[in-house]
Amino acid sequence: MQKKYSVLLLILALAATSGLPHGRELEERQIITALCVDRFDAEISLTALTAVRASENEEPELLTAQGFDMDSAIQSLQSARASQAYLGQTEKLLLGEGIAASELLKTLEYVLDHHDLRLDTLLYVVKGSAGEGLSATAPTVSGETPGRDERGVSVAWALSQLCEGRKVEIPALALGDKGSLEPAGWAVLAPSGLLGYTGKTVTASVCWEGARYG
Amino acid sequence: MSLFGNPAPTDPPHPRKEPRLPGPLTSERLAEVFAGCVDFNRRSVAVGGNQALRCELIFLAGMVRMERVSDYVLRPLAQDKALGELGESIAWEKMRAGALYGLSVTERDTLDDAVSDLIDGNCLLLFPGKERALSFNVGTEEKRGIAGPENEVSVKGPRDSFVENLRTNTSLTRRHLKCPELRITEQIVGRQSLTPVDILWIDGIADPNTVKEVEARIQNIDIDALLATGNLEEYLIDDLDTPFPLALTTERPDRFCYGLCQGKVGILAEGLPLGWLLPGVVGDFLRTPQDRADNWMLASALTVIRWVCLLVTLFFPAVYVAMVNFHPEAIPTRLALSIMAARRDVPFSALFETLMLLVAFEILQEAGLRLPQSMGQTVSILGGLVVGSAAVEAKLISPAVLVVVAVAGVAGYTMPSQDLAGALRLWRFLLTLLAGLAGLLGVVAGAGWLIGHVAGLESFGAAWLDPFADGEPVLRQPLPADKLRPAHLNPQNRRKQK
Repeated sequence: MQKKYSVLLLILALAATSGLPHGRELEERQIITALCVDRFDAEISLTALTAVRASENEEPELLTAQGFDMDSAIQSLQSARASQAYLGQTEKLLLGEGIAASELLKTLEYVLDHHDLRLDTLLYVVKGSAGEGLSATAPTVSGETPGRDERGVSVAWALSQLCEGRKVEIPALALGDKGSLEPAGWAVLAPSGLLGYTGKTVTASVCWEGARYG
Repeated sequence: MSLFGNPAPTDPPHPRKEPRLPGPLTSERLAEVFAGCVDFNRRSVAVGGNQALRCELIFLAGMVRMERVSDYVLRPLAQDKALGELGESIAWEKMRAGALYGLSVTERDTLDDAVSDLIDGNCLLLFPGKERALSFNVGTEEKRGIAGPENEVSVKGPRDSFVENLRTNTSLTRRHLKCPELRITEQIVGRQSLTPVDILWIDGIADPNTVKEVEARIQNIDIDALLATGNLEEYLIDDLDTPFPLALTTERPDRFCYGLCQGKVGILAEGLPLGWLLPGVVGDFLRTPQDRADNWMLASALTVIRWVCLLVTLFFPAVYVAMVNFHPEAIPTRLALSIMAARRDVPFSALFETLMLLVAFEILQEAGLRLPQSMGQTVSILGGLVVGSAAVEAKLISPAVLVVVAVAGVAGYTMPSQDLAGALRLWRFLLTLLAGLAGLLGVVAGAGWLIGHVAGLESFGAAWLDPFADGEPVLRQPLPADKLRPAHLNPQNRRKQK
């Protein structure tokens, strides 16, 4: 009898602590590969790029959402469609100039706390609006050389440096002549926010793991 | 109606009647015992042709070899005129001493012994009025010929296997182990079947306490008939609340003898072409006789593969369900997109799909066992390929789940012991359910439960998780380096080679 109660207790404990409400079928999720965060006046604006298979005749989609803070904006993004926007596979976090200057640590700590967003997400600063840059880039993303950006700086590393009071340089991007995001030097971040940009050359091209996975 | 049968009865078992058959040992009484039995035969014979000196020959047709009865008993009885001229007592003594040609002659004076001899294939000679009989061993030797093992096939090794005849099995054992220290004692199990069960061990190696314990447990078995392996096994093992096997069974005499040499106690039973080796621990169920025939490196590598397959068959479906439902961040993006594309339009959840396929796998396996061999292969192919492919094309299941379940199933087939494989199949279902409930947390909780369960199992004093418990080598050493018998068997002599 004791064994039966122990088993029942175990099952109840698992059900209660498992995070069962977060369990969703994989196909009910929309994988987000890149997330842009901008601040426009009183609103946080998010722009997300979805991932699709290269063998399917689909274009990556751009999802947008707004909220008065990161939390509400993320919730708005996730509940916007029937399939939940899933941030667990997000590889790139692009911060607009505005939010990098004013709410850098707050945004990065939100990534730290969020149960889906990963700390190894690569961090970029986009000159101007990150969302506009991504929107312009998305159609040209397909066909880019796949592979992880070796020069990329992860959110975890950047946050650890900033929390110790140090400055950190992360790749900066800007909308280029071709209408897509291109390397634009390095952004210098401090705990207070974006300090400026250095002119050091990055590389000839962004190693952008496109939203299309072959 | 309860699922697991009625509650245990409160009244005690019927006491055994002693003697089982009362009354004097006479031919009339024997005829009463076998009244109505068409195979009971009784004939009167004039000893040496002397009509004044008659005796009765009694036997059960089908149990005796007719030629032996005729040539070894009837012919000298009827034709030896000198025998007929003696008095009854002297004739009796002469017949007991070898006037008839039986290899073994026993005098019986109780009805129980005489009936038992008749059923064993002896014929009885009785003089009217005398409550005694001479019992001659003229039994038929109809039995299945010694063939190769069906389930423990070895590429490089002996090709004999146990049969249903107990004495043949003990002879196979003695042929492999010619040492005079091999002990074979016998007990009778089953009130109706009266099945002889032999206990074997090597004196000076096996732990005497284990031998005594085995003997005591067999002595305590009070059942109707010993007709299936469970009739013996479930009464011998320490714990019934586990699907994991606690006694090693083998159909190979060489493996059986190897176990005896290690210090295990062996059991053979009439009518069952298997030998049991006690105690049985997890390492025994993951080794094959082929391991000692192959190079030690190859055998060790194969043992590692078996251990890996054990983990795969247990955890693969559960981890798949956990990852897909709860932890998709652990799946590489490309793989996640492939799984998503594969699962598009499938109406069932990943958990239900996985469970459904696991059940289908079991059904196919069960059907394959029950069908005649000529049809079994066809049905397996139909079930596996056609139904599987059709189900995928109809979007009833996704190819990813099919692959997961197939890999887990095939990994389970690498287990040398079918008993262990069966236990793993049960736990696979449980772990998958827990994964569907709580993701990897559920899988880990299930794994903890499993480890706690098996860590508590014992077989005749040996921990089931030996070799991990005792520090014994998991892999196969080169045989010249394997100098000691396993410690968990507590052998009297640990060293087995110089």
